[in-house]
Amino acid sequence: MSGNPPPIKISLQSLSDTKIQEIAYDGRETFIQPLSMSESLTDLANRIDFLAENEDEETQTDDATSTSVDEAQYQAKQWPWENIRTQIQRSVIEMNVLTDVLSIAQNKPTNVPKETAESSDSNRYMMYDFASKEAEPSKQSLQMITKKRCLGAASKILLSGADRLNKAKSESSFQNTYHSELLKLRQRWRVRRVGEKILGELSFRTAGSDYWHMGSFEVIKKSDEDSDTLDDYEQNLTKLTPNVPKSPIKVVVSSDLRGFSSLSVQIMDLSKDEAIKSCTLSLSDIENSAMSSANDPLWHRVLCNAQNVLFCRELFARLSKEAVQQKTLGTASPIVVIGDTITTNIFPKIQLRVQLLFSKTHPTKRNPRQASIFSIQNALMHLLLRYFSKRLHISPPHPTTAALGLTTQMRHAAVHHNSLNQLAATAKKTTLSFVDVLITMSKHYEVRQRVCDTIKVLSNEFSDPDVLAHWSLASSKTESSARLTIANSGFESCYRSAVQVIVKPDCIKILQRDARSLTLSVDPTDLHNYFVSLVASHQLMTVQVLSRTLGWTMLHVSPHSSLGLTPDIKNRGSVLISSNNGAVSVAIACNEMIGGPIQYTTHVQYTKAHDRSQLEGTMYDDPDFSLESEKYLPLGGVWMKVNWPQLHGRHFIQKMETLLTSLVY
Amino acid sequence: MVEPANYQPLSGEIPSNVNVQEYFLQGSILDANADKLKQRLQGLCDNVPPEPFTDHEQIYFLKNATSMLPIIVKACKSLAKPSTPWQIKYVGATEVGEHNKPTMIRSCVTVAVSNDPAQFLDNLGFSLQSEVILKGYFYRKGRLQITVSKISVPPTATCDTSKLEASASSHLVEVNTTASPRDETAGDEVKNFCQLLRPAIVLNKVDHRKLQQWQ
Repeated sequence: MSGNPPPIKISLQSLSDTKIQEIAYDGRETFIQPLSMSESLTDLANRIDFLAENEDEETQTDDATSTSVDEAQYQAKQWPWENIRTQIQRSVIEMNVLTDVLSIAQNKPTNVPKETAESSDSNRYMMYDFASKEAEPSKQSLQMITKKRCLGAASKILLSGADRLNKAKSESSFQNTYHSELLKLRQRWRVRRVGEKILGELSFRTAGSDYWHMGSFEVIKKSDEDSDTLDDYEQNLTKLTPNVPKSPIKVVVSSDLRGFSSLSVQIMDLSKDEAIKSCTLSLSDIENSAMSSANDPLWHRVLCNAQNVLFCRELFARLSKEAVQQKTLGTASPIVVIGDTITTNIFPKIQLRVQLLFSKTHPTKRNPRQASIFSIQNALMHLLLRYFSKRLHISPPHPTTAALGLTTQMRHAAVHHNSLNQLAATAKKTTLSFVDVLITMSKHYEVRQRVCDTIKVLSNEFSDPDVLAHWSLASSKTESSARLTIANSGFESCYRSAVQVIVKPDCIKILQRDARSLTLSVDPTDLHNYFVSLVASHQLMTVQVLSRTLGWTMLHVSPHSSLGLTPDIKNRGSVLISSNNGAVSVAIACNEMIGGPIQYTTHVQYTKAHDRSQLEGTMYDDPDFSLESEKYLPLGGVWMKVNWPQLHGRHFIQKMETLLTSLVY
Repeated sequence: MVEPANYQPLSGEIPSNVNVQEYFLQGSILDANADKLKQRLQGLCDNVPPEPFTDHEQIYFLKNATSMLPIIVKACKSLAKPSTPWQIKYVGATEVGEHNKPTMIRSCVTVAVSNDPAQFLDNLGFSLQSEVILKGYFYRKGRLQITVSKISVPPTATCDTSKLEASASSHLVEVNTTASPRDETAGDEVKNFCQLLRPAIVLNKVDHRKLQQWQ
């Protein structure tokens, strides 16, 4: 409607005609009758909304960008269309946001992420923002505070509880500790109440012992004044560990059990009057390592010590009882029991001495040089325990009227047939002699020691063949074995001797390679003699094997040929060999000086044609072996003695090899 | 040649003076309290678990021409261990004795037999008087034998059942030891042991003749 012509008023008036409702096919028109005055008034009145008369203006101002504040106001007013309105409003907000996003997305430059889209021309960008940004940190701090308070409250409860416990502990009376100590005592020892007294028992009866001593003790409550005083014995007990906890309990054991006891087993060499080996046996040694600790109360130590005394006495009583009953058990002298000592000579000049030691003071530390014979100690302990268990675990009678104390075999033997051997076997198993075992073991120990020493002496004495001894690990208390190997270094593959030495309590058995077995006495000179002859025969055997490999012929071998020229020389065998063509003969004699090393005498005989320039200086004429003497006439030819030190070689066999090879070539 | 009665070639540990005297005390305890007694016995006796046993006892009587009292022989067989031999036990007359005697005493001789001796005893003139089955536990303290057992009737009951019913709600407890007649200490040993069982059970001398009179 632009333009400048003057405004012209145009009046517009509605037609008075009524509206045509419809035109029929025949052209007739149907009119809608105009509203009468009253009808138009009703119509107008209908249009008026009486409930929302004031909001008309505000609805006009309402637009799609209304804020959440407005929303809240509307919510408060609770008008009937509220629900629909809020829905529409939300969708409008969504639409707005969508148009915003779309407009930015439309204008955004390419290759820029949406979140940081920043159009250079419009300076518009979009970013995500957290709606409840400030709520988080406030919550965390709150949590921390509550936690702190809770922990504080809990710690207060715990602290107060601990305080109360401490107080209760400190307030606990003397009476309470007495009872708790008594409870501890009952956990370790057998105690019972007899009238007003509390009596206990420390004997080994429950384990099967039948020793006469009851080993009873009395438990006494200490009064306040004598709680700190200790008598001499108790002071001795606490000497090693002075900080023994104080206890309101005192135990009274009979005076013969108050002391330190041990059983000493000694093997004495009477010729030198010194102990070869010794060991002391006491229960406390074992307990010290396993059961007791430094914090044990005094009463426990007193009782343990008393039990140890009882143990040693019982063991000794058993030993002495058997020793008296069985006067000799293959020993050199009868068993003598005097007081607290059992002595017997297991071998001449070798004495076994078992002594019961008892002292009121703490025994001094053992001499560390005297290594203990653990096996004897162990065996005695084991025997006693076996005896206990045998006594305890007898076969129960069935039916109950049957006699007590018989074994199951005995019961059956009463009505079933048995051979005498079977009966003897069952009876044999039941005997268990302590002294027998002790003597057998100490004898074996002594014999083994002798064999060891002899082998040591032998390997020192004879440097020539190497003597090696391998002691077998599989040995028992009464039997052990060693394997002796003799070989020359460098000639081990040529020949080696091996013997098995079985050490028994009463003899030494030797098994040779040729399946011969020898039984030697336990005298060390016997064994020494045997070993010397073994070494000599080894050397001669090696010479034989060597000469055979070098092509020599064996003429004569004699293990023990004849007496030596002088009585102090023992002949240990001789060999006579000759070279293949018979031109040279060599005679070797192995002699032993008494108390000295083995000597080898070698003579060589030549035919006249033999060239002996190679061996110049190694042989000389033996003045004792002169052919002028008539007795040597049948031998024929010239015999020269070999000068061993002149021959090249480290030991006898090597020198022999040099001699034999140089004589032939 | 007949060996003397004390010839015991197999039992090397039994002393040469033969044990023919039985020192014993008997009593009974109600079933409800039997467990307590067993616990007490376990503590007092040798440190081995109690041995359960089931014995079948047959009591044979032989009329004695010289005395009113019959000769009593018990034939016992273990049902728990059937391989063990039968035992015949001769039981002499029980001597209650005076007050200074601590226990009841009777002579007894026990011998093992291979077969059921019923036929043999029958031939000798014995007649079966009664038979019972004792089922319980056997305890041991040194040479003392303690049995706690329940008496029941064997399946083929031939004896008077009324007596058994009376003792059905209780256990029979017997403490006994066999020793030589010269042994003075055996009786005291039994008596002292019974003292330790008090008050769970009171074992006293019971005069069997008086019991029979009351019946």
